[in-house]
Order: sequence, then structure tokens, then C-alpha cells
Amino acid sequence: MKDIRRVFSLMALFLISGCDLVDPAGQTGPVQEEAGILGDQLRSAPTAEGEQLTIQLAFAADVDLDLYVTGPLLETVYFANHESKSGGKISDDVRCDSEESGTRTEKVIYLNPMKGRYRIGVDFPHRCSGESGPAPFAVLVERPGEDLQKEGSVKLERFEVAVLEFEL
Amino acid sequence: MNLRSVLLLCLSLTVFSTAARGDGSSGKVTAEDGSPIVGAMVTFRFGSPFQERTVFSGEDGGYVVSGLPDNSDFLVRVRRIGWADIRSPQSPGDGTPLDFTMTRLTDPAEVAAQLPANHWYGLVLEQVESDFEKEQIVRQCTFCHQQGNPATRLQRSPEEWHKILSLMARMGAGLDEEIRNKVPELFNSAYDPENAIPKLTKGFDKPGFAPPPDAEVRRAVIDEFEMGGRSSMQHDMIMHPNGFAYSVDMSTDTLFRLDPSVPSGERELYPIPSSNNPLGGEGASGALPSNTDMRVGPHSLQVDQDGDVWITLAVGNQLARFDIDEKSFTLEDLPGGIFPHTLRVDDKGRVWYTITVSNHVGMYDPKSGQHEIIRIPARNLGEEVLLRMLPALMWLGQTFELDMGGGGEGSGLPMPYGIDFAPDGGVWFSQLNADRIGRIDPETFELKMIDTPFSAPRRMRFDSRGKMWIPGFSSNLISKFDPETGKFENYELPVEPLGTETPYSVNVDPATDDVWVCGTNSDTLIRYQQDIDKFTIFPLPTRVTYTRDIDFGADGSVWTSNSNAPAWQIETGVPRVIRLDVDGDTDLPMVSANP
Repeated sequence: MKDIRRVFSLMALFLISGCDLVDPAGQTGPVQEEAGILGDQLRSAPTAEGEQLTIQLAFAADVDLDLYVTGPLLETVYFANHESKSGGKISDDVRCDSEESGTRTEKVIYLNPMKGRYRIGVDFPHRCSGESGPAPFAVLVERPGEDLQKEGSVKLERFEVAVLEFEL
Repeated sequence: MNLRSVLLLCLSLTVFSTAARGDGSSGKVTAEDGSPIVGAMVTFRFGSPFQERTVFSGEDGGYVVSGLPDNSDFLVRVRRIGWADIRSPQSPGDGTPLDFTMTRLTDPAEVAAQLPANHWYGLVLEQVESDFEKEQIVRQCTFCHQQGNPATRLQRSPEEWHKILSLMARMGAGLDEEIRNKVPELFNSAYDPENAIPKLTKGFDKPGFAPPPDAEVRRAVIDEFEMGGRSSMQHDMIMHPNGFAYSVDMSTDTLFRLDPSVPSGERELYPIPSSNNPLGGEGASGALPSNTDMRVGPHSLQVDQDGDVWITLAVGNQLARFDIDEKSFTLEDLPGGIFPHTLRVDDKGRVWYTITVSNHVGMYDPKSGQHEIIRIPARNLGEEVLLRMLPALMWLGQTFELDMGGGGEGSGLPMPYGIDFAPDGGVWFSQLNADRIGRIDPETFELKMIDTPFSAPRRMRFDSRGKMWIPGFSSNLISKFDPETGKFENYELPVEPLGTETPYSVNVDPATDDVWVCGTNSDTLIRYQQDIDKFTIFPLPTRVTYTRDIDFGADGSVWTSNSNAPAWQIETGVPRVIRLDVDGDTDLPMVSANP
């Protein structure tokens, strides 16, 4: 019975989720606009100091997104691995029950960043409230010399493994 | 600087002033009072990428290591539970004995940190009263990596635990909701240092704590070959009859070849064509490892009668044939099913393989081009319907938003997993999550299913007598199954603390019929000599050695690979291909059959 219920639940989910079709790139007009606003907010409040490398993810309060940063030693800093051997540290995980209102951010800092390749991933594990659909996000990389920015959207329970990669 | 530090510095200088001989080394391992330390692991690292050769100190503390390369620098590590590791750089020298003096640890936390993951995991399991819950926790929480290793034995907020469990479920290892709700308190209390350390180190300053391996084990020599990079996942490896070891890196879509007869091992690597697949392959699950570059996901490999290597490409949904002479790949698309997993090649050259996600077993005959995709029965109608809907569900999941709640279910869908041939040619497989094995007639494809009297049958193998040996991943045992009588005989694994092992795979030595078992959560390889009903446990030198398969060299050596995922949890952060020589007869050249 449990499995039959599971099947029917799935079928019901399909029916309920109905028309929430997104385009293949996961980008829709309003979502892209919201991502742009998030990006503007990040740019307007830079946080990096000196030679440090700072990576920020911004997202709206109705979703829980997670920032993943993989450093040159190919170890990833994220909500369950707070520090890496290459020196990355993540700020407190921002979840649905977090008190922050408005735009939310997660941040990874490397005080003395190693040279090498970095990869940024964004996951969308939970929706907190609101309507279904892709969640807009913005990523800002502040590094010595040149900043990088990426805006986009991610679908529920889809981990975008590599939204941005760069060399330091 | 206190007196102890000065003494340690003097000791280090003494050690540094000695040297390893070009082709070998010997010496003694003693305590500060001069008494011998028995069973210390003395490891010589050399080359780049490195090889590490480990021997054990004997009854008098003496050790001898041979087969070291000439003119190489070494990094020597001496290790014994309860004692501080020694790490000592060495230059090739004149054969002066290399003696080491170890310092007793007095901090229980440092001792507890030396214990393999299964000791810590035992603290979790001892709190779980329900066998049903314990089985599910063992099976699902160790699916990809050890549980209880330094990266996992952490206290976390309940919210963080729930997010981790949700991520696990998306990766295919879900727990029932009731168990999920217990996990934060269960794991946090078990891993609380105030509780854990006294329990784990009780009596650590007295004889009998962490006893040395017996003399038979101390004869062994263990070689570890660094393989791939820090994101590598060397899922399976095999020994080719030509003497080379082949290993597949699922994370970087690479086939590696290792020539172990060359000092430090000569490696070649062959990128597997990815057909322009996206990261994660066709129909990516949406929960990939963060550092992966996987587009086809080579998973399991075997040699056919022509010497070519066949590989399952799990997320490419293909089979690959690697021509070892031309060093080129030929790819074959699967006509159905999702996630080809473990494969074997039968006497007729046909490739049989399990297909885990969609609950199939496949057969491909390269001579005729014939494909067969055999649907394996589910346990009930609901599962059957769900499995048949999977392709549509996966397609829909790419397009529609499906909030599955992120929890999953611990029972899991049936997964055909291990596969092997009986002497009569019958194709046998295990069905993980369903506690069953099955047989397929190789000509008629007629199917028979049998319940196992233990949980989580994983990668099984036949011995030369026609008996099938099956590891119970969540039941801490291996089982001998007689296809003629249909009877099982279970053998509990004696790894301490009892009940904490997760045997992923077994293989049977074709020369001796000894059954070898992956000590997946305890950094060990385990031998069961069925003729004398004896288990022997061989500790492996590297912490967090998670193994998934075993093979044998022509010289009787036992081979495996460390495929803990993620690799950054492995001590040193890189995977290794591992050779265990039980009798310690490893002078170079190491594999006589190698051309």
C-alpha cells in the first residue's frame, strides 16, 4: 500500500505542479529580472578586504538556496563542511527558519586564497513559501584585481554544480 | 620548550640522521623505555605520484622492508594505535638500520582520533534498539562513505542534520521519516566527545587495548599507489592477466592503468569519450558531488577473453570496450534501463551487467550485437508501477517542479547490484534493498528469485565449488549459499566492536577458495579461510579506506581501491589502489607475468 500511495502521490504532484513549465535554460523573464536585482544588491555592498577571496550568494527569502565553493584542493565548503583544508570558511547556513528578512546571503571567505581553480555551485533544496518555479540567485566573487558576477536561476531539488568557475 | 619537547627534538634529529638503503631498509620500533613495539605499521612513501609500502614490526619490534627503489627519497611514517605517529623524511643511504622510538599518547582524545570509523559508528548503533531502524541507518548512512570518520563524526544542529539527510535522500540514500527525526539526537549524543572519548579509550593505557595484529598478519606487505586526483573516485579496479592493474575514476571519466612492476608504479590514463553529455550525464539526478566532472561515470570493469576491458558507464547509460592494444574505446548504448552498474563477461564473451536504478539485468553479445534487458521483479505492485514509471518521472522531473519533500524512504527501491556466474553458467545477482538474490538462465532468461535470511546482499561471488558467497552490507556477515540445496550459512564478521562492519563486497581467491571481504567501515581487508573456518583481519595503513571490490593478482596478491566519496575525507585526500601481499614476498619485479 505504501508504494501505491507513493505512486499516486507522485501522479498527484505532477497534476498539481501542472503548468509550471520552465524553459530549457531555466531562465524566465521575471526570474532573470529578480536575479539582476539580487546582483545589484551584492555589488552595492562589497565585503572583501585586502587580499582575501570572498564569494557571496544572494537569494530571496521564500527559498532556501545553498552555496558550494570548491577550492584548488577540490574540497568543497558548504553548509555541512564548514571549513576546507585550503582555508575556505562558510558563514552560517541561511535556511527557511532563519530570521533574516529580505534578501538573504551566504558567504565563503578565503583569507589567504590558494592559487588555482575555484568552482561555485548553487543548490535549491527547499522552498520556504510562495509559488513554484525556479529561484533567482546572484553570485559575486570579490578577488584581488577583478570581481566576477553571475546571475541565474535554479530549479527545486536541482543542484547546479558549476554556475561559475574561475582561476586565481 | 619543555623537557619532553627537547627530548622529542633530540629523538627526531637522531632519526633524521639515519638513512634508508636503496633497495630496502630494516630497523626496530621501540618505546621510550626501550621495549619493543609489536605490530607498528612502518610505511615508506616514494615516487610521484607516490607509492607507499607498509610492513609491520615483529615480536622484537624489528621490521624489514624490501623492494624499495634505488636513489629515492622517502617519507617514513610509523604508526601504532596509542602512540604518536612518527613522520620522518629519509634519503637513500648505506643500509644503516632505521630505528624509531615512539611516544605513548596520554591524551585520550588523540587516541580516540586514531581509531577506525567503525569504532565511532558503534557508539551510534549501540543506542538504536530497533533492528529495523539499525539496519536502515547502517545501509543508508554508509552508502558512499564511511560513517564515524573524522569528517562525519561531528555534532551538528538539528536543522543541519535534516538538510544533510535531505541531500542524502536525493542521492539515493533516504531514511524513513521516523528515523530521520531521531538522527540529530542519536548522532549528536553518540559523537559528543564527553561521552565518546571515555568509552572509546577505556583502558587505553593498559595492555590489551588495541592489541597488535597476530604474527600471521604481520608478515603481510601492503602497497598503496596514489591514483588520480583529489576529486577522483576510483570506484573499482581489476588485475588484468597481463599484470597491469586497471582502475576506473568515476568522477573524472578516466580509465587508469598501473604497472606495479615499476618502482612507485607507472601510470597511464585514458579519458573516456563523454559524448558531450552534461555534467552528471544523461538525466542527471540533480544531486551530484560538488567537485565532480563526471559525464559518463565509469563504474565497474572486467576483462574479456581477448584481453579487452569492458566498463559500465553508469550515467552515460552505455557500455565501453577498451582495446588494450589500440588504447581506444568503443561505446555501446544501452537499449533500455537506467544506470548500468556491475558487470561480468561469460565464457561465450557475453557481457552481463546489473542495471540498478531501473531494476534490470542486461546482457550484450558483442559478436551478434544482441541486447537483452531483463526486468527483475519488484517486491510488490506499488514498487513495480513506480519502477516502470521511472523513465517518465525522470523526464518530467527535468521539466516540472517536483517537491518530493526531500526525505526519501529508507526501504529504497530494489537495486540489482552484484553479479556473478555459477559453475553451471547460471547468472546470479543480488538485489540490494530487497534482501533477495536471483538466478537467470543464460539461454532462456528464465528468472528465479530467492529471499536472503539477512539484509542488504551486495557484491557476491562464487567459489570453485559452486557455492556463492554474499556480503550482508547492513548485517555484519558473509553468507554461503548452496544453489543445489537452497540453504544459507551465515558467518558473522569478527571485526571489533562487533556489529559495526559494512562489508560491501567479497571475492574468492581462485587458487585457495579463501573468501576475501571488504572491511569497508574499518580500514581492513578480511580473509575467511573456509577450510579451517578462520577469519583473519588485515588492517590497512590509510585512515578512511572505503573499499567496494576486490581482485587477485597472478602472484596471489589481493587488490582493492579506496573509493570513499568524497575523496577529501580520505587521509591525505587522494584515493589509492591497494595491494596486499599476505606472505610479504614482494621483491621487485612485483608481478612476474608482466611483459
